[in-house]
Amino acid sequence: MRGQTRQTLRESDHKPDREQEHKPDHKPGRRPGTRRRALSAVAAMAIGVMTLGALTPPASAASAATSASAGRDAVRQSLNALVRDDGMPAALASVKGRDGRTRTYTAGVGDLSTGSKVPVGGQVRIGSNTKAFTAVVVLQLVGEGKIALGADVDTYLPGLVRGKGIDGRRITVRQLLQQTSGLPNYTNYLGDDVRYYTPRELLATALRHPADFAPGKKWAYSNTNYIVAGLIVQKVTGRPLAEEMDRRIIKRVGLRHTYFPAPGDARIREPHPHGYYRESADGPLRDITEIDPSWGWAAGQLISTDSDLNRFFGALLAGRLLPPAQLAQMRSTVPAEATFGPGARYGLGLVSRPLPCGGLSWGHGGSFPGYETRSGATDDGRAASVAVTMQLTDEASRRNLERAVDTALCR
Amino acid sequence: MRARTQQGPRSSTRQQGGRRRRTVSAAAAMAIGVMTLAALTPPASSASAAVATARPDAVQQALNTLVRDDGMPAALASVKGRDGRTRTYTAGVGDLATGSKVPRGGQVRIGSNTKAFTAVVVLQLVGEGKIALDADIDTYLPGLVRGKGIDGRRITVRQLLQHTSGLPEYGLHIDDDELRHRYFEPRELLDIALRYKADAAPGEKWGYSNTNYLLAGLIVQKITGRPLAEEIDRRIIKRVGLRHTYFPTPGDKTIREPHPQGYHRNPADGPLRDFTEIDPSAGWAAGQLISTDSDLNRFFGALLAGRLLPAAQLAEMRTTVPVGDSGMRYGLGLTSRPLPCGGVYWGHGGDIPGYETRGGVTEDGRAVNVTVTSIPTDEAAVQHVKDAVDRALCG
Repeated sequence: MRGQTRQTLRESDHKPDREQEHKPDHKPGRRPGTRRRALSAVAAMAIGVMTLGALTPPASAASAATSASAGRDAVRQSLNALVRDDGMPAALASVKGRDGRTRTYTAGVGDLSTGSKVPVGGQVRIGSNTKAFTAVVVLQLVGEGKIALGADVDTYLPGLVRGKGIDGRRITVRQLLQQTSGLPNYTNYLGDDVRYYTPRELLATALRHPADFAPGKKWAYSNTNYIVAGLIVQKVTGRPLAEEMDRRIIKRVGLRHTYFPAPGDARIREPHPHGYYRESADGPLRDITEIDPSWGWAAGQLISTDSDLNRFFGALLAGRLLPPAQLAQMRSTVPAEATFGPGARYGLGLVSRPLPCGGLSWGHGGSFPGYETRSGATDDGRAASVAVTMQLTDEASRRNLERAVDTALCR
Repeated sequence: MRARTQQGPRSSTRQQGGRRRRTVSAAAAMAIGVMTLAALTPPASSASAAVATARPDAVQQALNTLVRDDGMPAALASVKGRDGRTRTYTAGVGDLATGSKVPRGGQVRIGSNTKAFTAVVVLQLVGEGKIALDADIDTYLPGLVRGKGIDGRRITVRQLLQHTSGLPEYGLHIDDDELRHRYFEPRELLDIALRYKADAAPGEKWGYSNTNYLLAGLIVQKITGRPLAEEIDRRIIKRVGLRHTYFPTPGDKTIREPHPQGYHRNPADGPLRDFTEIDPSAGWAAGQLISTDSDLNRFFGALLAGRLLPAAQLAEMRTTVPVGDSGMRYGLGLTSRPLPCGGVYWGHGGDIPGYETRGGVTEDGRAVNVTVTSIPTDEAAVQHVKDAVDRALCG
């Protein structure tokens, strides 16, 4: 799911009348309560367990150890910088180069309490990259004639989406995938409660708040859009979203390390680096590897690896997941710089970013407690994904992560 | 899910009886004529012949009758006698297509027996002070339960578990073939129920409704912040050691361990079809569990022995109201039924397309569960299942 600080930037960017109405909820001038509060709840859960600070190896040691044997590879240097300069416990990457070969990289430590290595190709929570998967399932169903992008939400979920300034009869499927529905973002309102949520609870949380804007009026990232998209998938197919993703994407492309955790499953199944967070800027790092991911659902629940993300976005661009018409829709973008950075544009669950060496990279990116990932794939078959084992909260670190992807793609 | 055969008399008196009656008569019609599959069905005599070597006792004979006379593809039982020994029984065939044996102690879908599990979790939470039986639903699920004549502020948790809430039944509005293939979110099931008006005012009368347990399950999730399946697993299955019992994960249509195939007719006058693989999500807190006859004996035995609930909550669970004129009474997710040899047995029973299970335990530790691999629909077959239970407990 996307970092909240970006949401904040966006929120403070638009100042229509409607915005005034939310002020009480939005607490302008502050970080959005949500994620912060969610994290502090987790922090509360962890209090007493932690003296992790003492166990954290000095960043220099971590990078020295890894880079010593590493030579001058630019990707490796990027990862080392993420560990050394940005304070990430670990950084991982998978790069498929112009030569078609895949290289994997790690830096830092997998578990701060033991100092263990980062498992090569380890699993991570990919957060909002899940949205690209959800969008692909919706677009496959569009290709099958079972969903129409221009149809309203009520066509599939009659009467379900109603609220202040919110009417499912006026929001289209395309607006959901494109983040132009104006639906308020439920993750801004989850409060302190990191627990098991059903999708309908997440939707209900959103619907207690007024619309951010009228459908189609502007672009604003909202996880609620993808919750509704997931519910549409379930309604149209009559199957759980997780099953549709598994059958239509994961199995089909052979993403052997990608899965949608079952309800209640707070673990990461295969070898993985631990994920960490800090309750406050000067607080110690705390382990948040095990967390119930149900609050992400269609917007952020998947677990995967850098290499599987490369394979997914590569297969998508190569037309192996969608018919040409639906892939073209997915790649039709609108500006999204406020959330995704300079030059970024948002299609249907797909982000394009200009590469310093020319051309575009396509991916999504994800931010989830403990993990932050960025991916990019190019039309000529290059792909790179980089993960770090903390959710990033500052713009500079995010830029560094994106630069690491760009560096890998432009080598 | 269904407790159709038990509910028949009551449902015909209901306001919405039209629908229910159609369901019931459809179900009744299901047993008429033993169909094209007859060719695949081994002659009943061979089934009983297979048992002949086993010196059939009264329970075995009752199971043989269910296969031979009532057209059940298979019947299974687990009996814990006065001597404390457990005996398992099978009759019929596990798979009509292959004629394979019935796996002894095979897994089956236990349908509404799930309600007893859900009720135990709720009552454990009552014991922990996290739920109050006489609090209204809105205390836990504010604003969620509203409809024609329906108001969550006027329905108590106890009424849910007792089936006295008057909430309309969602299951009546899901066709069995839709049920078979479709994944339902619990909240979708609630949406279906709330499209209909209340069957009665809260507390006015007893009326079996899966919607009650759906809501009980949602309350458990709200209070614990965990999936119902996880709470059932941790608080009951693991605790009592029910090694063959599990709550299928969303989308899982299979039965994990060795099992007899389940069969069903839909439409009611259609052929028996293999309904082993179904999406059980329409059952959820009211009927999703998979188990075995022996695990059910163990569960109800542990429950009655006080190993799952504090004394006060077990007493609440055993506080019953009369149901119909069969002598059956309903507590909180627990039934009591009179035995021909005196006394009562405690259990629940369950029907879900493909399987029917009946049984329970006595105060002195006898226990039985009987499963047939198709829901019996004619009176004789229904009686024969009951006979098998009675013989096991009174024999």
